[in-house]
Amino acid sequence: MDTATIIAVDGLVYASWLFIVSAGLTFIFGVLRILNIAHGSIYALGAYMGAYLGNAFLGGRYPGALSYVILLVSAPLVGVLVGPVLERIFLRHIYDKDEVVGLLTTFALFLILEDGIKLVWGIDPYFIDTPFSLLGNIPIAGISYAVYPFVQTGIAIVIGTGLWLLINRTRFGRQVTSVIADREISVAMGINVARINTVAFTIGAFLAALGGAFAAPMISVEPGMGIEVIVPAFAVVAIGGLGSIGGAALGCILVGVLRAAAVHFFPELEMLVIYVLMFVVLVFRPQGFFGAVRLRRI
Amino acid sequence: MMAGGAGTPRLGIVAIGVLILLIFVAIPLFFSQWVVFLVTIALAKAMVVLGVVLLLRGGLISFGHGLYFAAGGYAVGFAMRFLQVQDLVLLVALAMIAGTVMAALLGLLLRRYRGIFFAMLSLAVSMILYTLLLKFYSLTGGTDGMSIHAFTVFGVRPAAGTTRQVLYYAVFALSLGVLYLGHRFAASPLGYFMKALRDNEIRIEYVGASIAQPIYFSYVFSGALGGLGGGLSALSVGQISPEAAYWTTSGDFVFVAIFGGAQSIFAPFLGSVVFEFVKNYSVKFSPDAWQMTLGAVLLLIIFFLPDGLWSFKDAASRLWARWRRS
Amino acid sequence: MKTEMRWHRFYGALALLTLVVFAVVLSVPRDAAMAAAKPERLKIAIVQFLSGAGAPHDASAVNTAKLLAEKINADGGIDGVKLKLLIVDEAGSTADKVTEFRRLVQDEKVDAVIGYTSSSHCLAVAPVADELKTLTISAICANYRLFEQGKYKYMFRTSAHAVSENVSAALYVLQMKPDLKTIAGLNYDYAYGRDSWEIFKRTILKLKPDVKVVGELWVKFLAGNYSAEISKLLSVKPDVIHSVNWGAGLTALIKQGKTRGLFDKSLVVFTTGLLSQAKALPKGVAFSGRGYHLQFSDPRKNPGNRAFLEAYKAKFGKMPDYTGTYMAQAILGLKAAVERAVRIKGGAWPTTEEIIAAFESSGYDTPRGPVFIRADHQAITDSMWGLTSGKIDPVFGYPVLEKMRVFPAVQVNTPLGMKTLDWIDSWPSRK
Repeated sequence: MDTATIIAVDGLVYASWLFIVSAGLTFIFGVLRILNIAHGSIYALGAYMGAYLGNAFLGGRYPGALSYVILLVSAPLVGVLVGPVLERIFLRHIYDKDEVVGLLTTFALFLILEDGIKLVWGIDPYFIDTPFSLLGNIPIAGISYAVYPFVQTGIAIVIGTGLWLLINRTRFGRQVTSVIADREISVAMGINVARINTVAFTIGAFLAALGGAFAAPMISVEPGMGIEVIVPAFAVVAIGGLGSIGGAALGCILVGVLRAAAVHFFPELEMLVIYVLMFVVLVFRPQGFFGAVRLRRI
Repeated sequence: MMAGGAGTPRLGIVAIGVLILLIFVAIPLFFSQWVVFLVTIALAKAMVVLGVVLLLRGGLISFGHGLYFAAGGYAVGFAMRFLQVQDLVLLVALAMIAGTVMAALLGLLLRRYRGIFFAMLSLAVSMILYTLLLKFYSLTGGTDGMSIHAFTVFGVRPAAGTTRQVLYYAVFALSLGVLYLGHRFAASPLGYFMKALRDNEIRIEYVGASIAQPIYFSYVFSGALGGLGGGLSALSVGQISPEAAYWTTSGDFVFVAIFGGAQSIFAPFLGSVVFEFVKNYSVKFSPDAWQMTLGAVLLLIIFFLPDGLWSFKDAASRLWARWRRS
Repeated sequence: MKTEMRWHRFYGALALLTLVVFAVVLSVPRDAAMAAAKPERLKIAIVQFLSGAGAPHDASAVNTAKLLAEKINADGGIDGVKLKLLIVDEAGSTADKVTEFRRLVQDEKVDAVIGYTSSSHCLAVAPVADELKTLTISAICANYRLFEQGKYKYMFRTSAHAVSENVSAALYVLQMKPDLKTIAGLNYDYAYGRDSWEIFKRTILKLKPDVKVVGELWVKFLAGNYSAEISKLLSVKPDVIHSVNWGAGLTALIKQGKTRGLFDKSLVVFTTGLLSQAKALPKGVAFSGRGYHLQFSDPRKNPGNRAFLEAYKAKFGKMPDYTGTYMAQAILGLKAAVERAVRIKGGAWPTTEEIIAAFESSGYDTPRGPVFIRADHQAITDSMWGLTSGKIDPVFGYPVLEKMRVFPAVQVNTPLGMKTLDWIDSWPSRK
């Protein structure tokens, strides 16, 4: 039994779950300069949609592979429904305002979505077990691991690579980079910044929903599940650098491994790890690992 | 607004002062006790919100003011449990000191941050305190919280059934004190400095003024207010628990700050009172969707009344001036 | 240049603030005159979680309240007075709940309040109940310190608390695994988790001092991601794992643990489970709903339990979780106390104080069997545990537990006047 390997694998599992969500959060911040507190609710929406579709369309029993398709479908569905609506109706008007306004707007949206989810789906728990139980377990380093979380790892890698390719190898990506660097000049150059904003937020929402949908098989989809993911996602984004996808990945792995180490050696510290790490990074390197240093403008 | 003849404003001010005092003193006599309780809590929380507003005027968003709120509350709890302190004045003073000391320590670190980083760091620190309060279970009672009861006023225990009134008058008197201090602060160079900081920090440095020091003092004052509000709130509710330091509590303070408005020191008090009543009635009339109602109200304020409820007075006085001219 | 203070602005603003606050306060409806002797209706506020994580747990409680109120009213009410329920959401901060309690009493004019699952809420409300002289019954609150640390006249608790369920858990585990060598805990890091683990651990160590504690894991309240914790437990392989985790967190733990074989190697003990969770568990897991399972007082033999389960099933289509029976204990306790007070008073309607006097040191029957309320207002009941069997009862549909053991009340409840930890420490050590 190799404790180091166990800690590494546990860290990877946690990081995979968190990365999908935090990648979306950091991407939204990078392009729109808004810290989206409603990200947690969109995560919950993805989970609810996945579980609901799973039960509604296949009566809770489905052939294995199809359940994955359902999860994959729920995410873009939520992203496309929620993303443009939120961005166009609410966020569009507050880009030019203070940062606090953006934070509060997404906080208000979070409150609304939380109750909205409850009104639509009620308070009973939803389940979508098949994707998880289908894959069984696998022995690693002397103990048994569920295989499913490694699917999340796979998705995290795909998402990370996909985002990198999107930003660095496509025309859209170049436009996004331009908007991130300087919004005004981008408008002057003829880039349709409004459309970029909408698409960027939709991508972020899609990622949050994807994170939620693929988390659903491991947990019970219940009211209040969105709150659980907000603070870790924030912490990881702050640690990695606002706007940096690679930073988010690094932050996730760091937090995942440190948490796992704490569980194995100092269980009392486990809850503190993420906040202390966030604190330490903000104190010694406020822009995060890969964040850009913010220049003060005259 | 021009000052009138020498005698008139003086008399007018005294008359207004007496009227204000009468109204507030009368409230417990004519209204149900739970209403008095609600106003007491609202005024106590308003002090914390004022602390948030003072920082907001400098462009600093504190998403961790729950830390000072909790510090004040736990100061009262610890003093009662471990030091057997029962005197109200002493307890309130301890709460304020706790907030001041915490702010003095953390301000040294936080004064270098702005904008979103200030918000995140203040959130991280408050969540660390939350976790510690939770974990040091034998000291703090963990999530059960600490019970806070039976205080005395200058050695005298309030008669049964009058505790609410006593606390109400105490909070009311302290609110006046806070407003006075807040007014002096806002009208002082320090207050103007915060506005300048928000507008353009670099120009302040060009002029040769120090930035770190005034921010630090503002922050400490803000923390003192937070501790004071926290202690008073804990005394009113009769309990303090770690949720006071949780990020959603801090979020509520920022919510009320925007709701009331950040333009005036009176705005937090107005915002807090209206907010508490709206919240209570939301729960009563839409029990399944009260959070959604609050969120919707916040959005309405952000979009249609971005300077908060208090800015209504400017709109109203403009209308009044226009009517007078016509 | 001295900055002008502009005091006239200050006063103007202060005046405006005062007027607005006064207007807001005026908008609140006023106190009506107090009701006369025998009320037309007995207005009872039921404060339980209708939203958030506690909602699925409290759902059975809320349902039972409605069910029993209907039945009592159909039978003519309590001494002819019908019940009117006001169902309120317990979700919210403690300060909000205290405010709401005051509003329920002084604005809604309720005659009694039943509820408060969250320990923090029930501890905060107890002194306020005394201040406002309103009978308040906690149906589900688990905190064992409620009556140990304070004496409250108007507060009652009609169900047992963390002590009985964890002491009985320890006793059960020692019966099921008499040679046990190691224990570990995986609990939410909050008061109930800390208290429960402490009581369980102390009981085991007192009765079998050679047992080793190989893990004390704490997770965030309602946490759903147990990868690292399960890995740790699989590495140390304790004989017994204790967990009070409930709600969404428990469901996640069951799912993730089942796939990884957590339940194969260790005897896992869950104190706070719902029936749906029992059904999800593999065989051989020690299960209880806070020391109760509706299989007891076998509904086939006990007409009271059978009537309750049948009525619940007819109205709601499923079986009630333990919170349902706990709420029944509260409502039936209130009914019994009022009826007893009426009898003592010779048929006249009793005051709140008289109801309280009748409630103290009394016993009454409930679907789970008899409940006794002590002089300190704490209920004393037995406590039971069983192992999941994978079977479902063919008539009622609840998950069947095997090897059920019922521990008598006196064995698992702290005696009146003693502190729990002192009581456990005072037991003679066995070997």
